[in-house]
Amino acid sequence: MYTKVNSMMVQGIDGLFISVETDVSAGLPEFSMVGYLSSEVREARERVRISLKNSGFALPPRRITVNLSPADLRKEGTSFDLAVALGILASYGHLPEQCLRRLAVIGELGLDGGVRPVPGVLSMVGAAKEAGVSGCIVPKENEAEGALVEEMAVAGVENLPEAVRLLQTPGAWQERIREPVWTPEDRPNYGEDFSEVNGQIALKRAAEVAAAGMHNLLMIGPPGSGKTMVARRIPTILPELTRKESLEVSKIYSVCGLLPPDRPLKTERPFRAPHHTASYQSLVGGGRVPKPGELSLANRGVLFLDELPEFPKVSLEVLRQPLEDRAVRISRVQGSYLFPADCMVVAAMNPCRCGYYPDRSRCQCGEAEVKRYLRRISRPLLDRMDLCVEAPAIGFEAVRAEGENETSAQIRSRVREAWERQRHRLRDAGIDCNAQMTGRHVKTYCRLDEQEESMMAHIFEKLGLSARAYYRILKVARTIADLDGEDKIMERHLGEALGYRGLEQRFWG
Amino acid sequence: MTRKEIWYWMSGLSSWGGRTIQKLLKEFGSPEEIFASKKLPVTPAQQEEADEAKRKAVTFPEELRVWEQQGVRFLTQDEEEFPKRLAGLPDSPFFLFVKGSLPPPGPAVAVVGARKCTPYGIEQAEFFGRFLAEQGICVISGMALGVDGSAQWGALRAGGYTCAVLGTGIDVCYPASHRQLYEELEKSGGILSEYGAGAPPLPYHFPLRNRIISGLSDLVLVVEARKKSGSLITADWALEQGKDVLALPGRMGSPLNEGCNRLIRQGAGIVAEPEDVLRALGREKQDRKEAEEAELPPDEKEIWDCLGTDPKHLEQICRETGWEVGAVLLILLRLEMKEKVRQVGGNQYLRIL
Repeated sequence: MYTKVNSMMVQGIDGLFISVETDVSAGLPEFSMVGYLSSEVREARERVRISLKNSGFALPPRRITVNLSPADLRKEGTSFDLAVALGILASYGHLPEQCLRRLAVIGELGLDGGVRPVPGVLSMVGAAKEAGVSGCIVPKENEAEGALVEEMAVAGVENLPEAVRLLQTPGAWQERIREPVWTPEDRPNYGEDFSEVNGQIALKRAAEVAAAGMHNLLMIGPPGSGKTMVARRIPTILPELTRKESLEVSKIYSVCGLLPPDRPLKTERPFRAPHHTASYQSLVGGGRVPKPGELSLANRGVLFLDELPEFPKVSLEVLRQPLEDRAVRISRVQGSYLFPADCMVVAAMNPCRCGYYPDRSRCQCGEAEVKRYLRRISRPLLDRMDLCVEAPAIGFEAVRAEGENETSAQIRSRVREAWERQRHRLRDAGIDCNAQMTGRHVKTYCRLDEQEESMMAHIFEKLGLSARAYYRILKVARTIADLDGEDKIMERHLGEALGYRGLEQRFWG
Repeated sequence: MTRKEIWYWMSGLSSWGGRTIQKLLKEFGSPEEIFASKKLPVTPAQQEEADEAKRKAVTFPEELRVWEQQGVRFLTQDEEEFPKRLAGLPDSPFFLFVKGSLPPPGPAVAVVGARKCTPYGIEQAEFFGRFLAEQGICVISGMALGVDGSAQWGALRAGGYTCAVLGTGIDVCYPASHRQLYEELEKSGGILSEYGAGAPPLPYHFPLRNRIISGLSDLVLVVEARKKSGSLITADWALEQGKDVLALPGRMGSPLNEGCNRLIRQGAGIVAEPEDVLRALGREKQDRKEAEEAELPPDEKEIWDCLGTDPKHLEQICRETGWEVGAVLLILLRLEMKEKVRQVGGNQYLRIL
């Protein structure tokens, strides 16, 4: 008898609807699976056969054929096991076929009949909903994750017999349907707060400005000056994720298998800090079956590159394009994958090898050495760092200072206001933060009055800045004005923005 | 073979130092005799190099002409133009390659110091270069990184005369990053070297060229020096040549001031104000156009007062004044535009003297 069970797989970060067709007919006893399968899918045959046996289902020898369609699409992953098993049972008549019709079945089987979790359930359930399915059977561990999709009945099962029981009992299904676990009270909890950072007034201010416009930030300073400490806290001053953004972030984590089963919705903004030995594939994503990299995991949050000059050149260069496009495109023979990469990059570095330049009582690096160290970072990448700020070594009194520091919530409320101003202003341009402005946008949205214009002209001549730097400074000045609640960019905004121009060549030497 | 060509022959012998030439001169009496002698009392390697070069002697007039075309003069001590100050020294160079112009008669001060110096050192060196140039005093130095180069830039910017004595061949720009300074010196100052075409920056060249730096000057001013520093060698040469040595005092315990402080302990003059240098030269301060201390607006004054000659970080300025970062940055920018303040490193600032 022929049956059809719906299942899902993940491609990139999106779920894909797959039909599992099963036919059991007379002939030589055989179990064959077709449909352009990768080896882990082909192995499902053994897992399904033995788990059926171990779950107590006696199946008389017949010719079993399973086809996964569409047949021209390469099937990857282990999410079809449960669907294949249920399809076979339905074909043998153990299950009424119509009970499977409006469901999607997702899950990996163990030899004992247990249902194991799979990555990407959130994407798969989401895609199932779009395909018009009304309910999903998923592994128990992924139940909470699947339940994030609204208006979708999701049932978690621990083993094969449980799934069968669920399908056989008409009432049991309804009981399993859970409300979405999202509640507005589900506040992000970072466990860290800006009030813990003593001193570093300049660094904190630069972090606030960067967050307010989603500008990339470069921090330069001696070891132990608190660069990492500040970087870790930048997500805490970014406005909360909207539900849509939360789901988008969770989806990427789900595909990478990084969602904790008990708290599947990521309400915190991501903070990713790959080590400098990370390969470039792990940064932007890749692999034979492309998986999102750190850049995409940091989507809507912060990608922190500590010890920037220690990163291999190739790793940094591959970041350039995605930073511009706010997305990573990876092409393979079977198709191209698009991963979101809308994050702000925060980088930290020492001013020289030993870390103390220009403090000559401690730094013995020659001018040439300092320059060589800085040259490891390519100019095009530096050009993408909108703000550069130097962190001084912290004095003892600053560490000890007991004074009241601003909390993340206080800073966040200012940042949120700045965001709203930008959104409103840039609504016609199709972008939502100042950092995304291109030269054309800068001309439209960062107009200067005559007085400021002449001041800029004077400064540019004097400091010998490049045209690139000009746009960068205007963008940052725009953000500072937004934080200030001003519609016009004024002298004081430009002055501050110029203070963050940083690594212009002539200041190093 | 003219005498000049014979000197040129000797200048091309990298294995022959001043000492060898001196010894041979004493023995043979004149350069011509040395050139004529088939067997010299020198090491086989030196003899071989000399013979090799002699064989090419026919091309010397042509080579000298090519040098001339490239703007390089070959001066020997027999010539009228050869700097008088050098000619009087016990170990005077016998010949010099000269690019640009020679130091004009009149007072000259050598400003020397560490290559890896502090922003304070850079600032002081540049200030003294400018100050001396404005007083019509020549600035002699070594075109090195750090203090030397900054002093020469200062003098050039003030439109004064400055000359660099190189430890490399006259046509070698060392350090390479000073190409612009090298060209500027060629245009409006002078470059001297006792080494010929393409001589590399060998370590022993530098202590020797220091005797020319001190020899050309009336006074040596050491800005910043470590305990073991080439600048101290210049100071030693100066004392040997009977010139004054002045040093800029520095903080106790700072490695970059150790050399200077030690010099002062040993009896070098101390520079507590710029005029001290003039006094040591026995000169009065010429009415240097007193830069009208234009009254700064109160906000700029407050920030300016907060700064010193050592770099101070934005952070500390904010803490000391209690101002907001943005406001401080704006004032600093204004001061920078007025050339009252300079930004060093990332967000550190110091006063310009």
